Amino acid sequence: MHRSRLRGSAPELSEYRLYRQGDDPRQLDWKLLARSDRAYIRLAEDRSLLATWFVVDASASMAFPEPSHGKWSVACSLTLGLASVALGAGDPVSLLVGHPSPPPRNAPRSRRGTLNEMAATLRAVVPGGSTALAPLVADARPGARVVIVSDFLGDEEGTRTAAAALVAAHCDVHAIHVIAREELEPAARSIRAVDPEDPGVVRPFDDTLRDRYTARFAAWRDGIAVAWRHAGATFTPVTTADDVALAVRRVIGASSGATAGAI
Amino acid sequence: MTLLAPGWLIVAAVASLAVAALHLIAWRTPRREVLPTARFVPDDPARRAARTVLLSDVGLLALRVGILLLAGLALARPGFDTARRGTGLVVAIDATVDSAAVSGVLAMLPRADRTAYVVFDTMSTVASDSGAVLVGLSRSGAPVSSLSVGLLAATREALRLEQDVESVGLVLVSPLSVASLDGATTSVRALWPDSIHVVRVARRAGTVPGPVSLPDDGDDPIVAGARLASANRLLSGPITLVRDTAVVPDARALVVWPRISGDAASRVDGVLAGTTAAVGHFLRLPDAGGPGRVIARWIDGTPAAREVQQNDGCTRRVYFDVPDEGDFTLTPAFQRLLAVLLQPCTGDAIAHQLAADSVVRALASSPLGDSPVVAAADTPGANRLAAVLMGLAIAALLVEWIARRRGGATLLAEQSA
Repeated sequence: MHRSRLRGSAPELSEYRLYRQGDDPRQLDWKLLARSDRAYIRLAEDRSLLATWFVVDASASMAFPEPSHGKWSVACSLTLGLASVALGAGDPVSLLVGHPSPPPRNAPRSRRGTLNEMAATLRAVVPGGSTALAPLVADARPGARVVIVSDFLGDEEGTRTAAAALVAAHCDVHAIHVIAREELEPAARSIRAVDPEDPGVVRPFDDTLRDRYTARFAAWRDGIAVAWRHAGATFTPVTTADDVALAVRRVIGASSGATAGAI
Repeated sequence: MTLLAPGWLIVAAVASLAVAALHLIAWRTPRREVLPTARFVPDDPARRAARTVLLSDVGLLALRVGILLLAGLALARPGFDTARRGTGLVVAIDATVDSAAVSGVLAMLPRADRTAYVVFDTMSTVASDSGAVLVGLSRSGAPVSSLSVGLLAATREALRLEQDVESVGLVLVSPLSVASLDGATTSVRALWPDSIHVVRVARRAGTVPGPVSLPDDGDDPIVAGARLASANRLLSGPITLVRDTAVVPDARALVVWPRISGDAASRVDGVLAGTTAAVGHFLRLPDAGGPGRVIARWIDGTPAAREVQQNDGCTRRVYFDVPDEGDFTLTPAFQRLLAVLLQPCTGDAIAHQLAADSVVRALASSPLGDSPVVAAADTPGANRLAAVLMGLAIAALLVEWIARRRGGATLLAEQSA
């Protein structure tokens, strides 16, 4: 359960207000009227359910590094961790996987076994190919919560545009940027770096290029962080070296500052 | 193992070192690795100087070195003939040499594990030791020898010794007279590929130019003149002079000089023989007109003496005499004329000339120049081994070519990917 945007007549008392013409007489507090000889109505916060859509990037870049598929493993752990929190609050969850052969999607649900189903679905996915996330993000219902777990090395701009549209439609959008430690600090040897999603990109790489690579990559990360936040989403970078539980808390903490409400 | 041409192995080793050095400095293409953030790598040129020197394509290097060494070993013609050991020596001794000189030469010969002696004149005999050599020399009476016969026999013995020893040397002991050379000597010499150690020694006594045999007639002016010429060393035999044509001995070189009776009238005439001319009182005899070479003429050109060559000598007939009175035969001009008329037969004269030093040097030097002796003869086993090694080298070359093509194709695929 999470706080609703509207105030209603729920049993839990929130505050008193003088009766005004037009208020529902059934909300009059008769005991207070008897004590104070003044008419007050009882106000309380309404409760509602917020569907949470998890859009998980399963492109080839998420399979890095080989053979552990560290980024995909962290993405799955974060997704399941956040889904567990959402289900614990009673919110239904749904899983959308960005993959050339995506698993069937379901409507958000909160029944027992939903988390296990999500885990089984994610275990069956082998990252590969290159699939745009923007269409998946756009499928989310207005007013829902959307959690995007990706390395944003694909259609980052398109995805961000779709997310901005959701924010405008009163959705909570949370972007989690998954980064591999090996991407931050490549190995100290001469290689020909190949982009798994764009085989035409083959760059020779050695120690002489390390500083320039690091600077360019950091500038890009900073840039997309600013852009996502400017689009109205929360943006949380998580590396494969981070503790997943702490990362989940960071994400929740980042989202708790949002005006849409807290989990 | 013996190598017929070890130089090829050295060449192969040097070439292998060069190939290894090239592999150390060869350009290498870095390995491809997946990096999703490759787009952030600056697109700089790919070439970098390696900080460490590493061998590239170790397998290919080993293959190439193996090819070179196999080819070098095949060209070096290895042999595993373990039966041959030691050195051999063949000593060819001319039977016309002085025995005393031969003894000294045999004592100074280099020591060898196996020694064979060949004594030759116009035939050859193989002697077992130096003692048998001296016996053979003592039995030979031939005045001249044949180097062709001697070299042929010595070469045959040397080839026989080569079956048992690693190297064979050849020594020739001979006076090396011109008569011992013939038209086949050069060809026979070429049968032995190495140089020959030539030891020139003196002729045996008796084979040198012999005495002039003259009649015992003290009143004969021709005989007196001949004796004077012989005493003055103008004559060199062997030569036999007969004045009484009734008795013609069997001699190698015979001069038949008929004696004319003293009542015959003489006249002043001149006789020319070669570059010698003698003018004085002569008793002229008519020229019989027989065969033979004219060796002296009268001033009017008619023959005054003829020489007929025979198998082992010659016969000269003189068609004049001199009066008994006077000392014409003692004059220097007639002495020179006697030296021509009483010289040895043409073959004998040449026979006793010694061969020139240039001929001796040519005989001694190797027909292949100064190249070292080919110690081990070609054997079928060595040929087969060389063929097998070269076949392996060619097969390895084919494998290397295939490996190189595959490596190039892989690299091309990676570059176009």
